[in-house]
Amino acid sequence: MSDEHAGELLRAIAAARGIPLADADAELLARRAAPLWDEFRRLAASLCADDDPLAFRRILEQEGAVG
Amino acid sequence: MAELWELSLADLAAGLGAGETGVEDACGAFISRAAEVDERVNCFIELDAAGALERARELDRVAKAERGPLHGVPFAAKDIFVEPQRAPSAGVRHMDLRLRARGAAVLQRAEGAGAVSLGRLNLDPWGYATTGANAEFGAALNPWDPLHLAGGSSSGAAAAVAARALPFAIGGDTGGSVRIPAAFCGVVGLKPTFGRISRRGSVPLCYSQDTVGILARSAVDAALVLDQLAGFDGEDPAAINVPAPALATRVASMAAAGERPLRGLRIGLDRVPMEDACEAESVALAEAALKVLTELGAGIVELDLTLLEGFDVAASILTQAESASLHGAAFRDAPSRYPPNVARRLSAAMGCLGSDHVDALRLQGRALRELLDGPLVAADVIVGPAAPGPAPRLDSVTDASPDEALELSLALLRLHRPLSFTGVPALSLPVGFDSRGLPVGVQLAARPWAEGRLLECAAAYQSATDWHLRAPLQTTDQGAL
Repeated sequence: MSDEHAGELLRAIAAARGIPLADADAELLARRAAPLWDEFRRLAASLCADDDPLAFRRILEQEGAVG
Repeated sequence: MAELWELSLADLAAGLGAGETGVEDACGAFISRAAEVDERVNCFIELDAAGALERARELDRVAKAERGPLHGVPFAAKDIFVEPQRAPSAGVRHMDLRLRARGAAVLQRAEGAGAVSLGRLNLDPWGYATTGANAEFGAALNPWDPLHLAGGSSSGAAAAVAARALPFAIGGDTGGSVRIPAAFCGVVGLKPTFGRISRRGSVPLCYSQDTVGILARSAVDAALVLDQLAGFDGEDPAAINVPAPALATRVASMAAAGERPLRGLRIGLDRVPMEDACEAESVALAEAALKVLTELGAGIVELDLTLLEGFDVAASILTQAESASLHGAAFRDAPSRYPPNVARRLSAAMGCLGSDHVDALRLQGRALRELLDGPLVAADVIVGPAAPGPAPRLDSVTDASPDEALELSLALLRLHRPLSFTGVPALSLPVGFDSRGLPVGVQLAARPWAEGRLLECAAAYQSATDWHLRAPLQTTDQGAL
């Protein structure tokens, strides 16, 4: 998604959820959030299919069992 | 002779347990001190003197053989915990989240061990910031210099413990909310392993990262408290069934150990973020603390923690997604009820998709695995900064734009959130004062469930230094603060 459409999308999401969000605020929020989302997308792209959302808890349990 | 509120928790508990000190006397002394301190730093949302004294009188009638390890010890908790007859404020005047629990497990455990609640402590609204600023209840101020903030979100907890208004306090830490104010106020702040202390009956912020933490004057005191608060709670979905620690004796013996008690301990350090993110005085104090640790026998291992720091964005998305789940409906109905910096974060969170949340959860397991297989193989304890500098001035936040206030919170979160994301235990350790007389802290982290290692390391450091013995807001000969 290009930056120019990010504010539009955020405004659409906000409108669909019933949240009042002025055009200018949506643009500002989208512009501010864009680098964060780019970074997150890069990180998420490095995930393997078997990186399971439940693994976190399982690792903690295993560490507890080791003592 | 020392005032009762000057005693360490360990000494106070010993006197109370043996009956040498009456519970009503101890609570009365702390209530007086807390009232004086509260006038200066606004650490309490509610100081419940009558309720505390009533319970104190009950405890004075308990036979010695039946007294708990914290018999008669005063404490208070960040106002996010449910009590049977009272809903928490969460730092806002209109707390409209409904909670199913009728009582908070951690308060039950503290009181079950004999501790006496003196009231409820101030915090950032919803626990969703890190400065201690609060437009509705007033900011919690720093007892070392009330022109500065206490840090947050467990702001009142850190300020009260530092000012000797309480021997210990209970806080909550999602992305640094115990460790940041602890560093700013000069006390020990422990964020235990995710799932170690029950969160049942607390106002959540991010289910996948929320922990209940402890603020105390020393590592020895924090160990005494952790032993009582930790333990599996089958009614807390985050709880993991790992045996409760028994650390008090171990940590106290480390504090009394002879030469080089940390012999063989490998301390991992990434100097780059410390030097990049921190003020020169804070770096110098951290380096001095490392020197003390090496003199105590520890070895330094140079680490590259870039990979761990990279997960900060995933921690942020996870918090956004889950806080939006919590607050979305209320925010939609009444956005003006939210402080501007929280409203900005919730507005941004509306852009999170379900798949983003799942990706963040998948990254959480990977982050923990990479930390365990890399840095925490090379080192037993990781040391890093707890804040870029000392506590910010109150006016630097109140006069700031919402963007600037948010940026201040984010600068602090970046140092803590990646560790919170991995669920490992972490501890904020005071390591001195800058030239303005404000405390500076460092952060220690270790493998999951290794709180004992952190507390031992901190206790050894505190046995060789006296920063933790210094107290702000000293009384004059005439008794005034």
